[in-house]
Amino acid sequence: MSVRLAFLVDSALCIGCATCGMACKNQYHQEEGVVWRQIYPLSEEIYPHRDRAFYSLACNHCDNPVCLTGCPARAFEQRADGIVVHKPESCIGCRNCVRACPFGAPVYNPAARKVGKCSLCHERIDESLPPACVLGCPTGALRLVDLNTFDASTTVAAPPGFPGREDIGPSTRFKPPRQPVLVRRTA
Amino acid sequence: MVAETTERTVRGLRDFFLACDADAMRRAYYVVAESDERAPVVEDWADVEFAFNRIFVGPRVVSAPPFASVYLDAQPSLMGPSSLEMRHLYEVVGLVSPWAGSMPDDHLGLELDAFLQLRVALADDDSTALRPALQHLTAHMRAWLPRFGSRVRSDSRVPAAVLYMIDRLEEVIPAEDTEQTTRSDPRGARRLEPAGAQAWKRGERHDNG
Amino acid sequence: MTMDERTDFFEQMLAKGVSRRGFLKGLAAAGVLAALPGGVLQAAQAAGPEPFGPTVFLGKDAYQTFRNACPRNCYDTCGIVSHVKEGVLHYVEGAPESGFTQGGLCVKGYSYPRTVYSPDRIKYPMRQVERGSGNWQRISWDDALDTISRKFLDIKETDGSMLGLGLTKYSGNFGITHYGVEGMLASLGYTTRFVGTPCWPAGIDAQNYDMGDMWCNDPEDMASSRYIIIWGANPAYCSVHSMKYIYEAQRRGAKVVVIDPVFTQTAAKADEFWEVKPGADGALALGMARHLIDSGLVDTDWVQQNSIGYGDFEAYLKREVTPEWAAEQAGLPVEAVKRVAEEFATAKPATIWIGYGMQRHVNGGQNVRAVDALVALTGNVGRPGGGARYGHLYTWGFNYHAYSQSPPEGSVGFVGETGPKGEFDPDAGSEAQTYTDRAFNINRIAQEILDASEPPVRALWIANKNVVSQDFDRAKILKAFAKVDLIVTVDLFFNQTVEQSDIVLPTVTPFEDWTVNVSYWHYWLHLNEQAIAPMFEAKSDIEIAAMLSTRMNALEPGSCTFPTDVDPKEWMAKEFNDGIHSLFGIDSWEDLRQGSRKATLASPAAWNDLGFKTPSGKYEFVSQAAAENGHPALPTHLPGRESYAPMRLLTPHHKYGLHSQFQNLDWMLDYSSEPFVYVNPVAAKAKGIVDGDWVRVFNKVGEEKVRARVTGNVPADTLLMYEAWFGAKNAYNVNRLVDDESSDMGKYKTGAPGVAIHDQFADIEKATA
Repeated sequence: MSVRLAFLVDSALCIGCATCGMACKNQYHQEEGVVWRQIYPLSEEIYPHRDRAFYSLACNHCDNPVCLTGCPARAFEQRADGIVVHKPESCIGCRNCVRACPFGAPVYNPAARKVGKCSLCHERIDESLPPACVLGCPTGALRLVDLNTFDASTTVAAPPGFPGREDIGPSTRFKPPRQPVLVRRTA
Repeated sequence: MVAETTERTVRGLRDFFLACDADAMRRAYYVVAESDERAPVVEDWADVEFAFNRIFVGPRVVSAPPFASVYLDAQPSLMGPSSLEMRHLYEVVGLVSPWAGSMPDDHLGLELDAFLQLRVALADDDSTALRPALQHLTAHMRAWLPRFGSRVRSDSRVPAAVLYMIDRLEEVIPAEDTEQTTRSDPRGARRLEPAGAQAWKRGERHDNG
Repeated sequence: MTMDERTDFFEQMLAKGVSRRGFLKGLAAAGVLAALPGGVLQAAQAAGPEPFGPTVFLGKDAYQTFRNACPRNCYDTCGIVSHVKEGVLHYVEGAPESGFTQGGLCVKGYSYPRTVYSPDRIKYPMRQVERGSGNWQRISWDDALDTISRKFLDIKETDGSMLGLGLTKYSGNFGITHYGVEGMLASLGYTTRFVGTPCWPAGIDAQNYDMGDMWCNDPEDMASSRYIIIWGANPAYCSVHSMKYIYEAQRRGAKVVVIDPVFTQTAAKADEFWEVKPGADGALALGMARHLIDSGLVDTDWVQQNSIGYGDFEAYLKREVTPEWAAEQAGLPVEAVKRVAEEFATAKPATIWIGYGMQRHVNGGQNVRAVDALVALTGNVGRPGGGARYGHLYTWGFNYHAYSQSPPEGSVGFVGETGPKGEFDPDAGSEAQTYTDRAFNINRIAQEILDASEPPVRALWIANKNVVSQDFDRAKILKAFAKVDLIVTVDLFFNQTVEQSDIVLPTVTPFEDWTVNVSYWHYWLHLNEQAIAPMFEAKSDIEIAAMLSTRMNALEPGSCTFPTDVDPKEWMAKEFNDGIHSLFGIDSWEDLRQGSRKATLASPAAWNDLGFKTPSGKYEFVSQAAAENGHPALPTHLPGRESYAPMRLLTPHHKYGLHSQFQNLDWMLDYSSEPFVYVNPVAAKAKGIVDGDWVRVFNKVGEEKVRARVTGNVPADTLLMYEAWFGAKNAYNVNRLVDDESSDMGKYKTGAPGVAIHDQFADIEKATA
């Protein structure tokens, strides 16, 4: 039976601790300034408290990856499980993918003169290990799911602040943050 | 003889960059500077030692760490792929660092020592299989020494004696000119910038007098 | 292949863009060099090179794994599995068998490979020719220890004792063998010790007065709580692995209330958040207790069977406290106070996580006692899923072999009042001796050094601590340092303390050392194996002690009793005993190579048998011990500190660092690039400050220039600055703004009172960049 792997970002559980991002650096040692997984605080229009709700985002491993279709060097390929793999040995550093991706997933590395991006740790997946970021997440806010079997009824594909782009079909699914009752100090 | 002069210079450079104190720096310096009219006169070796430690050793964050991996690897880290590359080169030619595992194998002093040993061995017998190793080592050093030299020169208080040694280093291991070298990085092969090699030739020296 | 062909082949490979490293592998059978006489590189033993590759995941079988533990003295104390290839640490993961961390670490733990291989590490022993000059000479270990030993012997010659030598070091989880630093000082004679801790001492004393010890439930049992109040703690930043148990409790229907002066990340995950006035926690708890009395919700059975002095406490509350008064003190609506008190009392098991923030006040100990009382009178102490959770030392029963060293024969020491040398002092409470160490308050290090005489502090040994960053009143610290002849600092990075030292000694990361680690929060035990060789000339604390002893004894036989030859692995093993073996169900430390182990607990609840360690054996609402130590016998209201500047200043922990650690790494700077002062929009507007402005925060202690981040997460009368050291290029230091005012408690069990870190005040104004 086929699988369609995707990240699930549960903002109700996410504490913005950046463990996922650092777990990625720990595994791949990206150069300073090159970040494959970033933690985005939601704007106060979306969540009323600054720096208190987040989307942890990397590559969305889209159904119709525009990085792949626009790459003149055929440096991207998509696996049967949906993972979009970038092959640095084929990359010519033209940055077409950087311009095409509406999610900012491919990151140009000026030192290497190549692009790099989240690989969904496919080498780990192939050894039945979770991606480094998912393993690292201390609250279960970042999970790996199989969209073919996952009950997506409580999730959304295009939450506020995230470009939906049905044409591209980003695979990441989201759960919204929650808010507590506030008892503020009286003057 | 040119070869002997070069070997003496490399020996002096090696000992200079591995020096632990002012006295060792002074001795190594004069191995290189002996009968060289260009060599600046050093009045106070303690000042050179302080500057040397500030630039290369510590304990403060240093301006030009003398390790190839800092300049060549994706993450400017110690014990990176470049360090292991040198460890393997030494192994291939039958050598091992006395500080293996503790000091990264791509310390400038160790690379200069390997360079020296390979040159001496090849001078005796050019037919050995060591020549590719020397070429390999030379290409490796050419790739990072210009960046290293440029970092040293960008230090605003670098002493004349240290600059002199950097100049000699770059004479012995000249920077790449038009040659293009490829190498790998953690996410695949990457091409070094030959332009970087030109940059130091043009610039920065005058900034420091 | 001829030589020329081989060379051509090499060049073709290069031209094709194949990596030189790939070629190097092909060169394995090349000639073998006889090492050059006078060469540095030596002839290698015949052995082929192993394959090597870039930093991608190479498959789980490609790595050797080792067991390590994070020793940064955090709640979570994570077990680590280190992945090593060719003697190089590639990456780390969490110990998979630990239920607490479940294979993960935190943002700090995952940055360890960067710590180990940062080009910025201190590599060699070095001497600063004039303190603060930046003129450093590299010296050998022998030279360093010779200089130090001669100074120590000079102190003994001058004073007739070693009291002129001071030690300032933090306590907690650094790995048990790191208590060898205290052992080293003991092996030299009676010295001056900066005792106590800035962390949690007032709360420790409070729990000791109430229950006879500090002991908390297994944090994993919070999942079974029906009601959780997180009071002055921010686990979403400071104990990320605890959050999943809180979430699980919520999923099962529990309510979570966060009480904090700041709308923290933890508060954002709660069901209800109370923005309490700082330092009013005790008043608030007393008001809630009074309401429970009025509502008939006190667990009278529990109180009658398990406590003493409840009657006095009830009388005090009825006489002095009303919910209305408490609500006013805390700045909260009285309806909410009453409602949550009722909910808490009727939802068994209910628990309160008492954070360390609440006790960093002049009334901090009394605050904790009041909250303890609230948990006790609802019958939640000793109950799984309940408890007044603060911390524990239940799993810390090691041998303290490295710690336990004797002074040389004939040593002369201090005569006078003594007490424990910190919360981990295994000798606390032992027989009085003729001579002792001289105890100075670690939280007032500057003032103590300035005031010291007969003898003054002539030399200072600093280890496991960044004094100039973390001690209070930075300006005064520098003045005090000027009085000390020799300052020796053992550290990893060139921080502000190293900058002000005469000699710096390079030390190991956990990956280069052997030790054993436990937590003061969870109940797991981790082995820390040496995974890689120490970088450069780094040494562990006990190796340094052995080397010092060698030199001391060479100069003056018998002047130091520390063994001159230590093996860190053997010394790790010497910390184990039958008690530890049986508590963790192991036969020897070697079993821990298979994975971290959890203590076998009769119950997840502390005090589950309701046998308290107080003099009465009961929970003591009235504590004679408290009265004897100059405190009220009852948990009563104690006013907070008078304000000395217009706004409250809070300087808690950030998620990206642990005190002055981690934030200096460039990996961390990718996620947190600069410090901020957090200001409420109302306050910002009044001061003409907009988001991102450079501002000056100032008070009587000093000032700090930083950019403002405008946020409703902080109240209008409060400024928030997270403590951190951003590395050599950024001088940010919150302790320019924090004085050394003591908290009420701490001396009883840790030797010195705590410090009122959160009773600080400051003003703010717009500055130019």
